[in-house]
Amino acid sequence: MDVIYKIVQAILGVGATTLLPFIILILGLIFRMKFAEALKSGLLVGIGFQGLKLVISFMATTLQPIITYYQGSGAGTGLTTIDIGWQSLSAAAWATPFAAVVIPLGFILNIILLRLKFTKTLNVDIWNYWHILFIASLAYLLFDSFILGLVIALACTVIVEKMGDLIAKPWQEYFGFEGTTGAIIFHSTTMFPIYWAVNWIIDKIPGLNKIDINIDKISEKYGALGDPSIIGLMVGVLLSVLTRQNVTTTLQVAIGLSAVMILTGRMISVMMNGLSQFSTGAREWSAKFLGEGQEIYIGMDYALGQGDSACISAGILMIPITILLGLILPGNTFFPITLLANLVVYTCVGAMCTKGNIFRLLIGSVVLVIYLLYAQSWMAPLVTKVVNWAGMETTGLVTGGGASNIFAVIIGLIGKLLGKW
Amino acid sequence: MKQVKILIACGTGVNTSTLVCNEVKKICKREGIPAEILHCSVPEIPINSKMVDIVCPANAYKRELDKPVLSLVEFVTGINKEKKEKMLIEKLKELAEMD
Repeated sequence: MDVIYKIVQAILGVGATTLLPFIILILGLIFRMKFAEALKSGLLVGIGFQGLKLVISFMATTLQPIITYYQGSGAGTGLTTIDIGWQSLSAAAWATPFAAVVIPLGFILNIILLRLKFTKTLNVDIWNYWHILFIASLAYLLFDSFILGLVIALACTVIVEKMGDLIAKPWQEYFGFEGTTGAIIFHSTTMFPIYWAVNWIIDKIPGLNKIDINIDKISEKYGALGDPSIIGLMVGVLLSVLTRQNVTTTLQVAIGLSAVMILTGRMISVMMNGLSQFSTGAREWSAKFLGEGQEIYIGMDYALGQGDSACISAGILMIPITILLGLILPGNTFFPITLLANLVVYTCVGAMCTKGNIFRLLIGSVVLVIYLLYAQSWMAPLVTKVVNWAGMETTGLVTGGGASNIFAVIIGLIGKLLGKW
Repeated sequence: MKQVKILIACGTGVNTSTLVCNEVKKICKREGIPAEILHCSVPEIPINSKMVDIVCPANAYKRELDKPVLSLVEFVTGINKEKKEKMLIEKLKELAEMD
């Protein structure tokens, strides 16, 4: 145990950013990539991460006038936390030393459990292991035990797989993706239960359970509003007006945020390019060990479900609703920025639970967004800690999607009760 | 053969699309189909579809458009991928030879 601790400490001494390419290189070799390709993957992931660090620091500079206004308002509260989005959290999670250990071990455990027929889900969505890496980092930073973080991470991989078994039926029925299932821990264990519960409750209320509305036209007419660059622009103008900025600052904030929204996505794209062969490698690798004939659900990203008319319309309608909730909910400390662009992915989890009933989808989304706003506000100090640990500098508090994952919140809660933060 | 404009669309645009774009590029190069690949998020499909010859969503997109739609979700899931690849090549060749 002591040896592992020392190794981890030594690794952290070098700095996560510098080590990231090597971690990916090793993972690439495990997933049977050629050395040169694995090295290139590692570099791309490292480059994307460096780029994201630049974007985040640019985002902080851009939003500074807004933050200063709220800090100076004297009320002590206000929108002082920055929503850096899942993009940044995922990059940070990949840059932690957990990536090198959790991914191969989690994957091997998955294969063993498949052979034992304990699960039918084969999770090849390697990218979204970051949610689990994030939870592990949280546990490590709170309780100072690398082993505990690792154990929690592996437990999470099993939970995703068991949830995959459960979700496979509604997933395949609604989206029609034969032989696959949804496999992201955040979506499966946080969003899915909320939408499922809302749908279940509405089903029991006479009158309400008959309602369905058709808003297909919304996605046709206002589809462009769901574009990240336009969301950034609108949010920038809105925040500036709310904090009484002059015209010059308003324009700077609006154009700046628009750039941030696009650039974070592009940087993740660079990282993804490095990792895109991992899923293929994982699938081929597992085919060798499992042989033919066994029924398997391939675990996938929930974003595949997007494109359904119900989820786009509801996702776009949720943008103004989410802005409003962010402004009026007492105790919320961040203005949802990147959250807005992700609503269309969240609603596709809901579309599956409600079978595309937009009325239920909207009610469920409102409940979900209220939870996300509070959970992400509350987790902000911890998120900031994890992100800093991964080598991303921040000024003030930051938060992002994924921090509201039910397991992350539970770990935060236990830490709070034990007086760790 | 004329150049085929392909629109590849996916969610907030990062996880699945990168994979699909790379695959389509590879296929076009191998089959010698001149192609230009554009890329957008799902909500923008109706606007951007006007500029292209074929729309290839990397997900469950179901809306009808006045352009041919061919979902490439199989490129992500890996299930029935060869079949879909054949369909894509056929469709692209057909479009490339049209005036």
